[in-house]
Amino acid sequence: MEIVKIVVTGAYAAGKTQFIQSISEIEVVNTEAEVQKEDELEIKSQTTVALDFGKITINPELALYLFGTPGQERFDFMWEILASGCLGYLVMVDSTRPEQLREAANVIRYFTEMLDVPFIVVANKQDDPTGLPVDYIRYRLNLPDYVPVLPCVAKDRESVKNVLLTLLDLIYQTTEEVA
Amino acid sequence: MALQGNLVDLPLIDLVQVLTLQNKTGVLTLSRNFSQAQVAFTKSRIYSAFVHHTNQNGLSVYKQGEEALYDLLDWPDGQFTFELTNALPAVENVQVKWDHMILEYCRLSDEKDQKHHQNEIILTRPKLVPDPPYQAEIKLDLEQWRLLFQINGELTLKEIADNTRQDYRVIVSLAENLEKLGLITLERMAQPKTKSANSRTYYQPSQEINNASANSLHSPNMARAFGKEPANRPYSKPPVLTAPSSDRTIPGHFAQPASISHFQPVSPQNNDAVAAPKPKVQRGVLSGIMAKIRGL
Repeated sequence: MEIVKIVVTGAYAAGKTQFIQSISEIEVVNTEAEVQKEDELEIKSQTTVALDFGKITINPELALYLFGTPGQERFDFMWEILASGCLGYLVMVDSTRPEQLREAANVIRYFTEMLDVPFIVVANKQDDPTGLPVDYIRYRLNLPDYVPVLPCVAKDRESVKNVLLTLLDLIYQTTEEVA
Repeated sequence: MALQGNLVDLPLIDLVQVLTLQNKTGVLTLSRNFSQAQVAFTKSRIYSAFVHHTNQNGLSVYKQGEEALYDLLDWPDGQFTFELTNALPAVENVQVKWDHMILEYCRLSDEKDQKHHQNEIILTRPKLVPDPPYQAEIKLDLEQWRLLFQINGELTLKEIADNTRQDYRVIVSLAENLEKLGLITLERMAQPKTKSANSRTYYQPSQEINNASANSLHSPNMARAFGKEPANRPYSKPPVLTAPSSDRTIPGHFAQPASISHFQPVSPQNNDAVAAPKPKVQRGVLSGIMAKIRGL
């Protein structure tokens, strides 16, 4: 079976697990553990420590695998493992938490050093009135114009589909025809 | 006809909103005490901004662009006049959107307040009241007793929080409760000297991240990933840290070493970032996946 791999990464509590859950056809396989650190506990009680795994079967010979990385940088050894062989990746950002943008910039830096595949910055929680505008997120991350920054609501399947399709389209455009 | 008024009646944020929404082209002149400012508008946006302060000793401070606008946002009052004119200053020095600047200004103000609050905590020293008011019964919980035992008249709340490895916010809350019960007093120490208003540094996106990381957000890999030619400008790759053992070496990252001194920064041999080989996929496969996702 041929497998196409997409990685969903981003800062802590940006909505990566939710994003995969919204689109995966299988119950997401995740490795959640109780949060121990006080500052992280203020945001959520459980966190991904190794990976999230979601799957979309295209046909009996082809499947799309979605891998979610842990958000905290202390688990960054997993990023390298999960990123291996991926065709593209998504960097999730929580639009309601501007303090997270520095962390998101670090994730982008790490991944762009490691991979030269297309990626999209996903501005999650755009349904929240306190969410930062997408173009402001781009401005704060100091991204080049050709990197797309898309609005998203990770719990809304249509929104997740739109993001995935945009990334796949980018991969399509930057892929050379293989015989 | 000119539009005139005072920032007390119409704050700068509202004034700019009105002028940009009305698509006005002209120059806004502002004055306050020893300060003069000029903001030019064109095509629904700010074109340029200049501020000139003169202090009582006759020394001048001159600001322009975004820095000038951040300065103006701090003005609580000041006379303004807006003149419709197409004669704009020769220099265009504002590139950032006004709404971005307002968000940045709010963020900076929040951070300033937060720092001020933290400063207060660092500078607050709790002291036991020698003769507390008589109360038939005072019930304290374990945490309050712990804090009470730490108070020696010398340590500040921050030092107590550090010593007991507790969140300073918890310590502050406990201390405030003990103060309400009349058992301690919170004595504020003298503020250290702070920087003058003129030495304030303003936010720049590149300051957000350190120089190396800001640069690496435009790394050659990123450009290649999107089928673009890497920019023809110097790119400083984060230093590669090499270990004598078999530890992995990833740019800017390193595994837990026995001692940091084992690691010697190595200058990259060339300016190109090295990435893993790009995986291959057939376009037909991608089309199939996209069709499936559209149908979900």
